Amino acid sequence: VTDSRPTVLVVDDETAVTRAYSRMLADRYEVRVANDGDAALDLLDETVEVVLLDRMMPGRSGDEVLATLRERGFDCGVAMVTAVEPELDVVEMGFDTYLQKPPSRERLVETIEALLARRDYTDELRAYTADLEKLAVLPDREEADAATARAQLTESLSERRERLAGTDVDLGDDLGFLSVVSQIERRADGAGADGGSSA
Amino acid sequence: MYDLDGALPTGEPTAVDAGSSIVVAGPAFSGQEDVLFDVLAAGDDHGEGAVVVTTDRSARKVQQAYRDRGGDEERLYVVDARGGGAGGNSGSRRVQTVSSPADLTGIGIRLVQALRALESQGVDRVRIAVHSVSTFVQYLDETVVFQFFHTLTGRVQATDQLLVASLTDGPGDRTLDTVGSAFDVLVQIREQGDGFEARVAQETLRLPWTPITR
Repeated sequence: VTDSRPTVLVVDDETAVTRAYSRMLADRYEVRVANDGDAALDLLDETVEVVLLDRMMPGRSGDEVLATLRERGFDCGVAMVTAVEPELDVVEMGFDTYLQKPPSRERLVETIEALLARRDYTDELRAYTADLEKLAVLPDREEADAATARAQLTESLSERRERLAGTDVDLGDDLGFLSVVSQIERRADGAGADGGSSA
Repeated sequence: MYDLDGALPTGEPTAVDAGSSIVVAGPAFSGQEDVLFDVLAAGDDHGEGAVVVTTDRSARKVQQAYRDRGGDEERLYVVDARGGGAGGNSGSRRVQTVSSPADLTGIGIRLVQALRALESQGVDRVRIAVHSVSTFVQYLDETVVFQFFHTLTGRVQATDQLLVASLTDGPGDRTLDTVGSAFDVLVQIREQGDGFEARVAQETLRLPWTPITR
């Protein structure tokens, strides 16, 4: 587990700021640094789990980077780093949370961990519903086959239910709840775009 | 605990733990909507607040149903998420509109805003109602609807509130088997002779079918 540290991408036009973030985060995360929007999009791939994104940057703004990132189907957790307190609007804009400038190390780690926990939760939830759906269509299948499959699925479901309950997701927190809901909605849209037509 | 004061057609249970979520399922016109509003309005006597997410009835009818049961409208907030051109400004701060049941984020934001508004009125014990789960399934994949309700029940559990939702369970519908499993308490209604009967299933409690008298 130790060699799979989560990858965090930090984006800010001020090199002093990105250097400070790197210093604060390097012991826990794999940190990538971008000093403008284009560089951020170049450094983005499936392994990036969290993005800390400065809102006000010359050239491509934080909002534009976010829009492009979501368009390309990247589902990472994105924190808006901002001088003002934007509140619930951030979720409507496609961000998952915000960090007020300048964030302390404690606040940075806390935010990243919350974003990772929400991803764990939605990943587990998706796996759980996939099993649930398989179980629902089982009666249509041949009997001998179905009994074994049912037993396996039932076991898998109870394991997944425990893992789901074990995630540290912060649903009692307003932004925690809202960013999970928007992630569910985003992924639903993505599934539709892949051509998943409903029977 | 949240008092149900006989709001359930079975009479029992008379209260549920804080953080519980109840789904009331039955065929069309079997009265599951009445049960939902009864559960909601039972909180009014205890000074609790209510938020209704409606995908089915107009906000005006929701307010009417709450008023008819003696509820205080000052503590009732409505998130009107009916599809098809509803939307626009309602003119009341206690009614917020969302363009479609598929706009889960929009619904979530209005819900959180309503909860914050109640909190600023000094009300933190809140019953949240969703009428109805079945409409969501018309707009979104069942698995997505399950994920949304699992998250909503998780939220209600984390904040010690109460959730009650209605579900129309027609012949051949699988929604109750899938989405229904996101809830802790199932109130099931079915036709029996000229009327209806109901039963309650909870993890530790399973009550027999009981004729409904109204």
